[in-house]
Amino acid sequence: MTVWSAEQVLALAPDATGAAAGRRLGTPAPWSGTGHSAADGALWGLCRGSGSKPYQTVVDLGGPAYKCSCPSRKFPCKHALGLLLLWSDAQVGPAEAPDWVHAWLATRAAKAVPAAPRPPDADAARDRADRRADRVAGGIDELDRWLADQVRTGLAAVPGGGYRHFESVAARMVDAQAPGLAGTLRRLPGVAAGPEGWQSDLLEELALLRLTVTAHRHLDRLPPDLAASVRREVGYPVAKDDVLAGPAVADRWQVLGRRDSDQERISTRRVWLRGQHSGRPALVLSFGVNGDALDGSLIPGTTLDADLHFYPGAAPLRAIVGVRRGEPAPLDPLAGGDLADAARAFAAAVAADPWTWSWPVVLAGVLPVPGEPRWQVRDDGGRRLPLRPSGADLWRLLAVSGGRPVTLAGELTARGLRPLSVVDTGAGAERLVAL
Amino acid sequence: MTGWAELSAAALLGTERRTPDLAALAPALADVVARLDDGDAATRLLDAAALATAYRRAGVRPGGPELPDPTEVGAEPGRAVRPTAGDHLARILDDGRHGKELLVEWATAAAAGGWRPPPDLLPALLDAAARDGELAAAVLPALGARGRWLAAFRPDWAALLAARGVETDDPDAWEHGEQAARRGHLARLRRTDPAAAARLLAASWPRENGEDREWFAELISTAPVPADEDLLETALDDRRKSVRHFAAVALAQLPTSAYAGRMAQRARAAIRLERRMLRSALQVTPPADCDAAMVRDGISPKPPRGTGPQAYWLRRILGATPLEVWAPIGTPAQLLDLRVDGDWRDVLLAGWRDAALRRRDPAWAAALAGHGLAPDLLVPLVRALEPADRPRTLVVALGGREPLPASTVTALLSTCPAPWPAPLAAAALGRLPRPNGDAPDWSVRQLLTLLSLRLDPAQAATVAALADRLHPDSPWRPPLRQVLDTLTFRHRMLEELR
Repeated sequence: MTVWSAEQVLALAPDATGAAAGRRLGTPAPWSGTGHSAADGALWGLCRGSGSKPYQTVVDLGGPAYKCSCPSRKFPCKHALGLLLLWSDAQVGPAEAPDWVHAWLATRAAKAVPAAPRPPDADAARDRADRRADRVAGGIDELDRWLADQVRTGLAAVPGGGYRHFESVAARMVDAQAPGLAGTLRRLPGVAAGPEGWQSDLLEELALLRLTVTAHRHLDRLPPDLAASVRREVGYPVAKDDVLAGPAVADRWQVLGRRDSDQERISTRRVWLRGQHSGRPALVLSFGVNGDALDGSLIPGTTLDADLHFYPGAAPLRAIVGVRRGEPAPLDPLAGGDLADAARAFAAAVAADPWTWSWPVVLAGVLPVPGEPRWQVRDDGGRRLPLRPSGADLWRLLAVSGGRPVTLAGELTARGLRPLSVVDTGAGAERLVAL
Repeated sequence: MTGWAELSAAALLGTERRTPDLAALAPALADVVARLDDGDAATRLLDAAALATAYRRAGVRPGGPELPDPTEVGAEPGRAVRPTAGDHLARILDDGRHGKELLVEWATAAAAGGWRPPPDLLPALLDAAARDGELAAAVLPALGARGRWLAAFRPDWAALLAARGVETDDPDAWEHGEQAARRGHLARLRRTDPAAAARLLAASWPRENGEDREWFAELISTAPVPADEDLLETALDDRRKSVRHFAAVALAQLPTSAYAGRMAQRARAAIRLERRMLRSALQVTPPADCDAAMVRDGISPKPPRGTGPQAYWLRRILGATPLEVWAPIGTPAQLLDLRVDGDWRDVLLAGWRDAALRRRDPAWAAALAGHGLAPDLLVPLVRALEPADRPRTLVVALGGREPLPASTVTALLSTCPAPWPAPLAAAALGRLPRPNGDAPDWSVRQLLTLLSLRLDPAQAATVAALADRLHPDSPWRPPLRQVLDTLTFRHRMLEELR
């Protein structure tokens, strides 16, 4: 059983507070009856809390999945994190799993068998879809008129209007069941408030909205993949089960990076993967409402042998993890290209799906160059790309590079590269450092 | 105007006022746009812009100004830490409570063992050092070649290293360098060749501005050498008060200086040994006034509020008098055993303490600790000693029979870095209040925390035995278990850096 590093364990934490609390419990003192079993792929222990009865904590390393008798609604709770840290620190010995552990593992196995699918009510579903299509079409016509009005009267007045300028049309799109369009519109006040050149950025956004409008009117004449991209832009729901029913892409998926963001009450986790054999990029999203735990099963710096199911689209990227085979393993050496390869991959994605904003790439042999106005990466051929940190710590990137070329994973956009992680080779073995 | 700029300008003004010249678009685009059938100018513009957006994005080529490549990190001696040690460091950097103490211990052990920290943690290490001077002293030696290389890229980090003289020296810095470079140069030279540094500074002293003179005088006062004396004697007449102050502080640390001779003369005039049959005594005759020579030597005529002028002058004289002056009377302990006529004993203790602090004299410190020097005077004295000299004085201070509050014990013990030698550990554990039915109060918890961070991890068994003897429900158990946890963590941490 591969033991995870503390870093990998802490990557599972739902938030910083949870990580800190987990660390405090990552010491032997509060624990008793700990053990791990390679046969069951599980780890367990009793943690003394404030009450008289210790909490029973068990971790299924394959998921990973957690069960704890504590009342915490965080997931994994601090006890599970503490137990994992203890194990990561080689302070949990092998043992025979006690009955309460076996009992939970058994219920988990039973749940994993999917319930028999319910026969769909075909007529009702078709009615719902028709009603939705009508409402969307009505909303789209209104959006089209609004878009033309913007350009007819000129964008100069837009920044003065602030978010109100976009809010009523965005709200109208919500009513018209086009949440994708509403989301795009709600991003625009930020674009209009941008630095010099905002009018060019805003025009790009409005033009792509117009493209969605036009494309939606010809939806039935588009190739199915491109039609799916249009539906995604509009915000038609895609059932998870439908995605899982689609083709499976089997590979050893290398987990290259992770970012969490919070918007109002919803937190979003993005995890970037790359197929070791196919070189294919993938993005797995998970959402949490009101502080629910986000999916912590994809840990940067590990490789997962699994089936991925891609959401339909002309340049499919977003995916769901289906069948997993075995536990996460350490990362094998990362293969990457130069900046020309990355630019080609991005161009191909934009050509297929013009709404593509960014595309994950792995760059090999690129040199991070600090400087003004923006840091860059430079490849062997002297090609340069500006770095757009967006939360990444460029100093860590520079420190890992030591002024020498590195292998770097990031998101390529038309404006530059957003670094996600870098490979550190200084300690002999390769180690992925999240930025 | 390019095609896109044309579109963007028309959109900004509005198609009501301006019609974009679509012929300016790239030929491949212009062909497609020409076939768009929409009659409305606004939608035509948006459609053309949609095409152009995809065209532009897909066509973005790597490019940018030719920034110079960064320097490359040089040879990196030592070995990279194992992942577990890296995890420990990451954990310490995250931990707000004991982070600082543990970071000092980690960095010290890593530097001693020739271990290199994981490169991605170097920015956090530099930030920590920049926040806290005490940390900087321990962290900077552990940065390794890569950490020093990295620091050069950021002014705040570079300044940190320059202030500690860690970065490589520029031989021209003294003649041509900026203020920080000159200061760094002199600070480094004082460490390697203080006499040469004294000559260098003496030559330029008349031309230095007041701010620099103050900085240099303060620098000298941290570790003066005899070669500094002439300059310091001049500085006693400086225009700037702070320069005069640091000059006096520095001269008082040079027992062979003329300054020390003047102070010794004043001290001998004030204190006389009177031999008596049963027990000899010290007779004290404090100076009657503060004459001009005393003022020049840094003694202020006006005492601080609440102190009598004569007591104040006497204490200042004793503090600046070489301790060797008292050797003819006896050892420090014998001197302190003598009876003191009048109410002067506390003044003598304070004055000798000041002198012992300036000279970092361990024998005097231990003697003063054993003769009832007040803790608030003792703590700074111990702190001034070389770390290796501190345990001896602390064992004396803690070994006495009079009760000490836990907060005082903590204040004393906090002066001694980890790990404590066995006698100090025993003295410290001996001062731990006996556990009773009540939970340990706040001050005792502070003491326990200190024990957990400073005891040699090998002492864990002693603490475990202490905890095991307690009733299972004792409120002392959880805090003692925490002490054990921290000791265990430190043990593992140090094992990884061995």
